[in-house]
Amino acid sequence: MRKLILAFLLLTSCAPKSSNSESNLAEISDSKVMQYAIPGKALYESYCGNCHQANGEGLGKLIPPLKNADYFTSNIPRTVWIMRNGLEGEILVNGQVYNQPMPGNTELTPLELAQISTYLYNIWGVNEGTITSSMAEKYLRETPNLRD
Amino acid sequence: MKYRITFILSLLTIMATWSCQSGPEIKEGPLPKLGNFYVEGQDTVYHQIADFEFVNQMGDTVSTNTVKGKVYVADFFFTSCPTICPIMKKEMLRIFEKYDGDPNFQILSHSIDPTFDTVEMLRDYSQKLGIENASTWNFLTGDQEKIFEIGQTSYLTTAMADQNEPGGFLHSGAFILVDQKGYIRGVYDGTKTDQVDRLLNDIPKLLTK
Repeated sequence: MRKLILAFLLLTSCAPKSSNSESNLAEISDSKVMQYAIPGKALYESYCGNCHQANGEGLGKLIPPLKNADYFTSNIPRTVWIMRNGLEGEILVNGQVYNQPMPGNTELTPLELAQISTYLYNIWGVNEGTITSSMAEKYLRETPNLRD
Repeated sequence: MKYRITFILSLLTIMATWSCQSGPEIKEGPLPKLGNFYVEGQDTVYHQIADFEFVNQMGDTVSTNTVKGKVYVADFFFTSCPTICPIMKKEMLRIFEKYDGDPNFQILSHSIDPTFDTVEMLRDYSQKLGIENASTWNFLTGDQEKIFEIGQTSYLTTAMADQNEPGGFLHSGAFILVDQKGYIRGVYDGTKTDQVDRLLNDIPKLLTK
């Protein structure tokens, strides 16, 4: 009898409503990666998500996607550099031209850039492992090729 | 004994159902008329949107007459906005997708940076958003003073230049729901999905009138 009620309670108890973006972290199994990705996700949502959207799909032909986007997945150093310094002019993402200026985020520290990158490069089917603070610092030192 | 189990289980079901009802509160019933009002004789005079005349992304004039007898949603944005505009436009797209083609419904998105946001700029922006024409969704430009003024006095929302803000403008992310006679019937945060859900639920209450 008690077991029955208990089982029933478990079945009917409120499952937390997880949004699509929350389930992203479930793709990560490595604990070091997770340590970076948790703050990275929060930073992404406050600094990047307004434009690139929490699901990484961008906005029409105005704001390019990050999720499944060749421009994004092919070059981690460039992404880190753009997050800090911004970008102007045309870029080609998955065959589509985008030309909306992106402001830089000069206040983001190398550690924060590392956390955001680690988050983004270990979800949506990508599995690049931890991007450390010192890697981010190194990427910031050299201006990448922004056009292709 | 068997009855008691049934009883307890049904009680639990009810409790479980109740406790799980979270999320946006959907109110039923007619929408209020918002803003200041005063009483004139026997009548209450409610706040109404003042007359206006702007130009849309096709170069056509959009005025009070364009929206007369229609329900519309108004907001304020600018194309180079680095903060809340993209998310507002993503939410507005949901409204557009639901009501595109309805002759009794309009969207008016006012640029608060009309010097930069020319007709050509707005056309380019709207087309990149996937809005092919201005039959439902108008992107408006015009005299900046007039746009700030209608934002602040008619739509009761923040819209002004501010050098301390990213992008140089201070604006609220409000979506303002206006009825056929120019009364404000709801104000929603256009950056929040649950509030836009509420707006989507409120629009048909006005359209059926």
